[in-house]
Amino acid sequence: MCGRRLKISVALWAFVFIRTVTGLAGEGRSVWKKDLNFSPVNGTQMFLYDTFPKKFLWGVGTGAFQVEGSWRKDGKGSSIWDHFMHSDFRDDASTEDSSNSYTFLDKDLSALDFLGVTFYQFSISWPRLFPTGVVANANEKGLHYYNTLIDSLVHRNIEPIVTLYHWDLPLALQEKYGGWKNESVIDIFSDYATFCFQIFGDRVKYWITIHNPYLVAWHGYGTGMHAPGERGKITAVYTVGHNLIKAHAKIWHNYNTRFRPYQKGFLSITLGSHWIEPNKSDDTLDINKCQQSMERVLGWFAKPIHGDGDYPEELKNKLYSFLPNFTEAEKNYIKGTADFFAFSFGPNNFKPPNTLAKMGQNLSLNLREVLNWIKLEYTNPRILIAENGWFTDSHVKTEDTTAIYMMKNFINKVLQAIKYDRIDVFGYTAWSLLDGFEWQHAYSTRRGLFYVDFNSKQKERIPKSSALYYKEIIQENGFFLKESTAALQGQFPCDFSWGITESVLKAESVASSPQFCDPNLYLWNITGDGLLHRVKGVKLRTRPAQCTDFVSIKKQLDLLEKMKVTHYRFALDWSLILPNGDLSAINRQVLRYYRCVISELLKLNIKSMVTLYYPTHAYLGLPGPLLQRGGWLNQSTVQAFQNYAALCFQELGDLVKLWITINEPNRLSDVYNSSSNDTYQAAHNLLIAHARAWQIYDKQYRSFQHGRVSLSLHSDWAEPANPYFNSHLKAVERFLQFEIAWFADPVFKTGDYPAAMRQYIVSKNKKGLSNSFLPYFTDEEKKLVKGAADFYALNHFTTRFVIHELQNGSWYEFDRDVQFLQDITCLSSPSRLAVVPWGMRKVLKWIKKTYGDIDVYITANGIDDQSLANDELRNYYLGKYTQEVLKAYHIDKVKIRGYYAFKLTEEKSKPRFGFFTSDSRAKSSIQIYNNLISRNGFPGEYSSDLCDQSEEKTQCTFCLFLSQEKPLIFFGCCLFSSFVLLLTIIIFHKRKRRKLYRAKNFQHICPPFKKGHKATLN
Amino acid sequence: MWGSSTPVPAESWLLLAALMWGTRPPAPSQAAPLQNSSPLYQFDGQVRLRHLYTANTHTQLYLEITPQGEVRGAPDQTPYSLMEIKAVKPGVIRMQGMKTLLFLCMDPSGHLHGASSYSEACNFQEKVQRDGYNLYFSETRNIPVSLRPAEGPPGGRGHPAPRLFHFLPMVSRVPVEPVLLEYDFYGDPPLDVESSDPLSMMGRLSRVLSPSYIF
Repeated sequence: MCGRRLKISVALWAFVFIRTVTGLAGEGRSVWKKDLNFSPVNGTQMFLYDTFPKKFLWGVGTGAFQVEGSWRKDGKGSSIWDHFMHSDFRDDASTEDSSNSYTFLDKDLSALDFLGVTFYQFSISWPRLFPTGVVANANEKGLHYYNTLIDSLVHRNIEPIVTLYHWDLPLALQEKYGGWKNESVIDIFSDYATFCFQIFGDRVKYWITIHNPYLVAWHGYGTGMHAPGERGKITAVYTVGHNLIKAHAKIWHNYNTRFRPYQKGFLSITLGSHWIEPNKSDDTLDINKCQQSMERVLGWFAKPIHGDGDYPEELKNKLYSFLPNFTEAEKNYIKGTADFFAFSFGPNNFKPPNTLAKMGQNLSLNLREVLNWIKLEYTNPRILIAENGWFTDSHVKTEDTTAIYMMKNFINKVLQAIKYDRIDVFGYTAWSLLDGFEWQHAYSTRRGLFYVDFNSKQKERIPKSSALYYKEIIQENGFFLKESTAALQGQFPCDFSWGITESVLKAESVASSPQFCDPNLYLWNITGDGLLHRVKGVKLRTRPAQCTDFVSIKKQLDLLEKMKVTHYRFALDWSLILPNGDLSAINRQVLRYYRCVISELLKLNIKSMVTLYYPTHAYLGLPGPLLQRGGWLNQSTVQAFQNYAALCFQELGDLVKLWITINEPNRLSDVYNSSSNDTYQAAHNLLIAHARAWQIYDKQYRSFQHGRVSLSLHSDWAEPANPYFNSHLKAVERFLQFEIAWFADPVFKTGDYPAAMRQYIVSKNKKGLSNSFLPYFTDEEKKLVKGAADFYALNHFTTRFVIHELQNGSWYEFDRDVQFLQDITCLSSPSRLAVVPWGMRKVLKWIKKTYGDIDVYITANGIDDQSLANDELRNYYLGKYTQEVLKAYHIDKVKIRGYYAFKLTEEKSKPRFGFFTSDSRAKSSIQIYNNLISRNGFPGEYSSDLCDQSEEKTQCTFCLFLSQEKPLIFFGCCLFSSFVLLLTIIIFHKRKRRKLYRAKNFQHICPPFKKGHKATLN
Repeated sequence: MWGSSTPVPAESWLLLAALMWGTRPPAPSQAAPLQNSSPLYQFDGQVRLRHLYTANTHTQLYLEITPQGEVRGAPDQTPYSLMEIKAVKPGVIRMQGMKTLLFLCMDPSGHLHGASSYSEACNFQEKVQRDGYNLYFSETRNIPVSLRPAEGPPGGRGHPAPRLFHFLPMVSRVPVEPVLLEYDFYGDPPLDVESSDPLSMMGRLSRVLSPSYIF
């Protein structure tokens, strides 16, 4: 009994063991079965700032044929690619020397030194050692070259990783045997490999037999895009694949038995692949197709070598008439013939996409997922990324900005795979060291970290920005966030205003409670027709107008009460208040509505920051007549705005202490974009309009209203897309000048536009690239504008990555010569706003540095989040951005007075920026903002509340009780008073009876009551 | 009654007086802003989200406005049958399809259609019936809103079924689905493996847009 149980448990454990040790074919499927409800801010999906394992290997690679050049020098034999190139790419004969690494070995070594790599992966040119391919007397000069290379690497402490075959088969073997189609090449290749182990094996510890056999078979014998250029014979394709696998296995066994015991090295084969994702991640059919696609390419070679020794079932079933069979003995011989998994992930496995077995699914560059697939399919092997990178076009020299971000993305995916998915990646090869011959693309694409001018004689290796970036990654052994310091604990000042921003409040022009205005009395449904019948002759007294007449105010108040803010920023509707544009018609009802909003808010202890003019792309918000006269291009609009502002100050100024004249005039002016001169003229008029409004407030209202007035500028931050290029750094400075300083310099600094902006436009005019003209302020206007703001108000949403790009044309957006890049590694919102919290702190610092120690209000800051309820992206954004605001306040001493989150509610069919949905449902971020406000920042655990409100609070608990229980208290009073009255009457009666008088005077009590009632009813 | 000299028990006077005092608006200084206790608000403000249900013994229909502006009856609640019903003046409402944002309007011939802009022709008088159903008359034409069932009674003799006039506004069972965002910057462009910028990092953001300008 016991024995049997033991047997069962052993069998069970054996099963579990087998499952965990030899990953079952097809398990990779689970990579695609993702959780669709993944949070956008899930830590395991975001860019990871961390370091690689201590002994991680950093390297760079080249293929001999791509960089060596000197194809006929020193007795080298021809390879199939020499032949193929000279028959198919005749035009490129002039650049046939490529980077000429054969001659300029020293330059390669210096480049390696510059990068600081731990290994160099290169390939040996088989025909350079053996011109006919057959191992006989080796070509002395070729042998000397590779010995020198390996010795130099060892001397520099750079590990050589040597590939024996990177596609340059000796032409003689192709001509004599038909190349890899012929099994005899296996033995010849094995002899060559044995020779290399004997000669170089004392110094080389990592060997790669073949680089990407899939491409050799597929493009060499299938599509004909690679040498030897045979096409169309599917049997040949799979025969070549079969022979390559057998050749690899033979060499591994040879190395394993004859060389490993004393050379102690590792040997593998580099397998390349694409990656693919299903159209629908919940569709099993689509997932199966993805699995098939991977098995057709990667599984073809990986399953025999890293798996069970045989081809994937998918291949065997679908291609049984073309696919050669392995005998059982061969399967056992091939199985496990790799000491690690060498993986190549680059453009060659994706191009051209129409030759790839995509099965109707979508190609993807997600390196992390393909590593996970390998882990699941092949039992968590040790992985060397043997080739990775992308390409740039041939005209790109050293400024390869996109390559930086491709590299950043790829390497970070590897880091995530190591840290989160526990995948054993032990090295990374950036591809490639040098620009060189790119196979079917010849010299039309570049993949080097170092630029080489192929037409030059000296072929200097010039580091590209990707080389500088890779060098940094190697030095730091990963990614380090320089911009952000540790989280700060602390609070904002006690009078800090926590607000929420809303766009234009749509005023109700008619009170929505007509029952209080209509003096008639009605009866309903008397005859069963459901109609109201007026009762003739009865008139009721209507109630005077009051704020409760506007029903929509109550909704606003409900929302704001939930936000628990101290300030509410909203905008008035100019065109509603002054429909004619001038003061000839003032809509008092609309003004009364806004006054009601403000006064009702004050009862909730919420103060208003009122924006006079808040245009949008959909609604410019100008009164019709002004719009018809050209809007902001017409000077009369300036005067009209001044009158409008004065009216608002006069009508609402007693209740409003914070005014914004115009929201984002720097965006409004670029609505006028038919020419740059229109844009600049509109900006000019906007500045003067703001300044006039401010002057009026300053002279006529400030003395008794004591408010503050400014304008909100759209102030996003900018970072150089390519920090290694001075032109990008200059583009950033220019962007800030054209975006922010354009409006801020006249108001906060000089009274004139920034000199840098003016100079740049003039210089573009001189070059004939633009006809733009930046207007001048008269001396009077300068005086008017300069200093015309009481604080700096900024709307900040994101940080942009800026590129210098020369542009030709007279438009504002062209004048600054700036282009933008989307950092794919950066968390971003559905509307592509990059979440860069430290950008907020940088812009605040910049404002302080540029405009001095002025008060700053952040009048809008927010992000769009797809979620309608659990808006995690907004939660994340809010927490991170306010933390940076706190740092700017405490560390950089920027005088920040308030923070206004953007925005209260969103609209239908628009990006979802709201804390409330368009139908007023609350999202979860409200809770986060509530906490932030109630704690007034990020107080430490033991820090005491600096703002002492205890007195106020105790006072208010009684007030609160009173206000909350008002009906109860009132009812109690009523009850009590009627009880007292009743009691007095009873006592009064009893006394009278006791005195035995007839109650003659009883009726005297009633008439006064009657009179009273009549009065109230009428 | 008030003018009559019949004696009234003193207690009821007191109660009345107390009630009259209670309905006086509270003094402004101590007023809390608009508590949600008014009976006027029991219809959840001025705006209701409802499906207009109508039925006879054979069929039941919900009035829906298709994106093409056609008005028809749907056998079940659909996103297109969810209407925002808003009062515009006493007894008069307007209806707007939540999904398509089209207004229910009646043209001069009495034909119903969905219109993208609101006009007088989109006003309807709401008349409440005893059975709780409503009739909706066009304010300008005085023609009632009606739906014709697609088929007559089963086994009918080919007579078209009589039109249905009475409607019951019903609470929505359809989840208010997220409205499609029609912004060109939404959605990632497909991977272009033939490009040196396969993930389209360049050129995706050509202009500086501000979120406060999208509204």
